[in-house]
Amino acid sequence: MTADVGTQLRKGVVEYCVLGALAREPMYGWQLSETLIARGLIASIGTLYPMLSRLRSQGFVSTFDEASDAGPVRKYYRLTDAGTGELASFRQQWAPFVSAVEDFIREERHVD
Amino acid sequence: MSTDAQPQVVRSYLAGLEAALSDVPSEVSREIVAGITEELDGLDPATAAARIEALGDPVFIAAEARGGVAAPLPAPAPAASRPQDPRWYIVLAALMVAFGGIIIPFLGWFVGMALVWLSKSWRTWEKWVATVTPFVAVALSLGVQVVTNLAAAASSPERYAGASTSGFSSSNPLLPTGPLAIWNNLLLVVLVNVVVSIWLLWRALRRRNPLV
Repeated sequence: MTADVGTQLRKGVVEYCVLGALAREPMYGWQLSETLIARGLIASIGTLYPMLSRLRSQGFVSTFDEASDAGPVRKYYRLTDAGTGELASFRQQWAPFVSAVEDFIREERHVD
Repeated sequence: MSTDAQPQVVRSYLAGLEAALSDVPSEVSREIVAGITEELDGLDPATAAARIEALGDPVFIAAEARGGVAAPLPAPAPAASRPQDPRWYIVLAALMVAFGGIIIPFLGWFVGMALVWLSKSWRTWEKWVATVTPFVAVALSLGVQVVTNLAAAASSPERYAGASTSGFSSSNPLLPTGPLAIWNNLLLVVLVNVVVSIWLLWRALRRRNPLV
């Protein structure tokens, strides 16, 4: 059970983190991958693209091409209306969920 | 994906990546290669090498991609797995149960029941309740009338004794007949069907997912 708690936890929420990141601004794959890797949410860019592909087929994200200042045309990902709705419903569940888990795992403070 | 303009380090990395991704679904593998290619494009060899270092081993990326493919997000619309009847179908079925028998005498009610039984909006027990209730109501009504007639016959036997010569059907206290009794029972069936249809509507519409 303790083998890979972090992986299990990330699996459940990382797609919503992608939705949350894209809710702030459209991002291209690498940019998104760097952001998520820096926060320890994915291990490599290899994890990101299957997620993006899935989110796109579910209609939660869409893509558009835009030329960057440096030159190459990049594929940007942005949230769709359905994605915004999905993120909103996750937000509603997240706070009570965290609070419930907190209640269970909180260390008891002994008052002497 | 690779072009001659790319530094050798980029070309060999992308070739290794494509090979490692060979057993990953092609759409995902294309996206990964395209995403990484667009990032490495136009970089000088030293910067590209640093990026590649950060990206890590293609084999690891491919393993992550395979793992990611196997872990889907819950379906966005749970209702999609259990197809729902459109709202108009539920309303039509309920209306036919209530008034079908009036619009097309008797037959209309059967059409309403057929619509209900063909629908996925009601559980089997609810369909049985809707089907059987009018019959039970009429049976109960007849039972009550029989008891009432028996009580009346017991309290004034001479009235029924006198009437016995005028015909069997009107004299038998166990058979509540005559136009009034038939109309009463028909009215009862209509009322019961209206109540049943309201109940069916309530059951089906309450269960519908409001988000769908």
